[in-house]
Amino acid sequence: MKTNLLAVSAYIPPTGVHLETAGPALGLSDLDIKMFVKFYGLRDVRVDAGAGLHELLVAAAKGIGTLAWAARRVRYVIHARTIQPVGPYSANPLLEVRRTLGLEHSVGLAVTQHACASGLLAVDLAGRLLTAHGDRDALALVLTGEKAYPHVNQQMPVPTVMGESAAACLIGGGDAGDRLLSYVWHTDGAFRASTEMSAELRQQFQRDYPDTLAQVILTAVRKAGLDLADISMILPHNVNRVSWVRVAKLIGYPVERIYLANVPVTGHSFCADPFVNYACALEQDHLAPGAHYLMVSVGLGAVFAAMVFRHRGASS
Amino acid sequence: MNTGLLALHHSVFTDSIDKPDRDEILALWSERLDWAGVCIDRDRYLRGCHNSFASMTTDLAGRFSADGPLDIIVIAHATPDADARISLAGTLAARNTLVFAISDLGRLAPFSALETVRSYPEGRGLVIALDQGTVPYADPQLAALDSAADHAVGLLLGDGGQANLHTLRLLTDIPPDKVEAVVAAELTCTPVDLAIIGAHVPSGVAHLVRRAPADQLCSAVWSALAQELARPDSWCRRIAVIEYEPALHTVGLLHLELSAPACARSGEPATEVFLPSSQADMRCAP
Repeated sequence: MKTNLLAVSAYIPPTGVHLETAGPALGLSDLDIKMFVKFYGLRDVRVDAGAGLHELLVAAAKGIGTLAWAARRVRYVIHARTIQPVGPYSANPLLEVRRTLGLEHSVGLAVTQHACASGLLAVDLAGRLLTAHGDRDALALVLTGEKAYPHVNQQMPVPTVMGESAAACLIGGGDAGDRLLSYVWHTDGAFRASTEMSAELRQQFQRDYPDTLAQVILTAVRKAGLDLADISMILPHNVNRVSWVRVAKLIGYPVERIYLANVPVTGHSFCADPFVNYACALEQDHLAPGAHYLMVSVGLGAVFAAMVFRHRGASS
Repeated sequence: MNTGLLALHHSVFTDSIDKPDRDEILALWSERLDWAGVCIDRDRYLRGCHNSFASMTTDLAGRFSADGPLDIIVIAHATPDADARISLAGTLAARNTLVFAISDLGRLAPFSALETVRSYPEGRGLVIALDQGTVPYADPQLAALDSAADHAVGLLLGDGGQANLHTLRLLTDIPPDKVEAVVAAELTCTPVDLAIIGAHVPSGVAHLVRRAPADQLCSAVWSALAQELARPDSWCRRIAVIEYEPALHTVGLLHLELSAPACARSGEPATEVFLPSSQADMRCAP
């Protein structure tokens, strides 16, 4: 099975709102805001109040220049989501996305239950479905990004703030693009209550988090046949900076090579962070041809996931 | 690729004794309905059975994991969870079991879930098709949904078994007036003894059809399949399971070939079917 990342595009809402402005509506106290900014490395959040989910996803997908040209080859459109319900049954934003992009011939589906790690799951699933489908030219479009309703932020049991950046990834099974070398996930059912965890469980989750994530990262690197020293960059989820500093220390990896530039800019954008960070890192020439990199995410519930890719060069 | 259907089980869940925090769940829904101009219908919500996906899938997964570990569980659903706050991956977590859900395909989510499980080459996989009717708003597409009971159908896939998932297809871009012709053409290429058809599939697609219940979405054709295989006098060996999702203009089609009769026990509220293989033990009712 070959799974390749052929192109990635990100939509980052153009205007940032400082937590001092956005915080009260999200249920953050003044003290929370000070802690988030000074200790956790958060600052702004990007939301697009005028855009619905459909518009966020279309904006991300339209950034893939080759999509219109390759549209007939797209067999699957997969929306990876942190939170499953997005609206009433009759209103299906994913169907609207497919119509807008001229992808009515594709099979559209949502993938959930790995929470914010569902994006990585969707990439792996896309590769498997394409392989099983048997058409070497077939493609899959993986979409990530959600509306950051106040309720989501208010119930979030970890120190972060949710944003509305979105990403689109074109997946293919041939030889072009960035090759997926390994995908590792780990589920810890002790934390299945996610937003309903007791205070004790929340503390336990935060205590266990760095060690568990470190193990998943190291396993993914090993499964790819590499050493951590071979990994030129980690493209993380943007929950906060502090947790990544802890993980970097645990695995002995330079924190400077974890792409944390978006943490104070976008906030945590559900499943989209690793892909948004990929697009930004590529734009800033952080990924050399042939470089190995990791995408990492953690979902409430709790699912820890990491993927190793080998970069082939241009993204599209 | 897993192509053997080893067992099916249809469970019916009536009123749950475990009713989650309603205000918080309704607050979540309020935000998610507002953009579509849809209001919360509290009375409708309170009338529901409130069976969470976690409780329903725990029941099903427990039945199928007794004979050995499950490598992958894919939950297929159309209506949302009655309590979306509980992680299904965490609830069903076991060593090396991959658990996730597929939705936004309406009635056809189980077809995609079967396709997904088949794409994982090794071991045993379980597809759980779920329908639950605790929906906190009025929706014309859910008007016929069974509000008196929730449904879950488990389909266990693995190597062996004497039921083979022969062809599995999702056919897109099919308007309602073309469904009969498209399906009939498919069945001409691969003849069947019986077609189990969903509520929106014309009955003229095959000589012998069994209509699935109209008050279920994802679980409809699969519960009908379980009932058919549970019939002691069932003689059909080549069965097509056909569903149509009018909102998506998509047909789901599965050809199933049985090389031996199923063993079944059927009764209210559950139907359980085992498809014996040379390796599997025979857990048939006496």
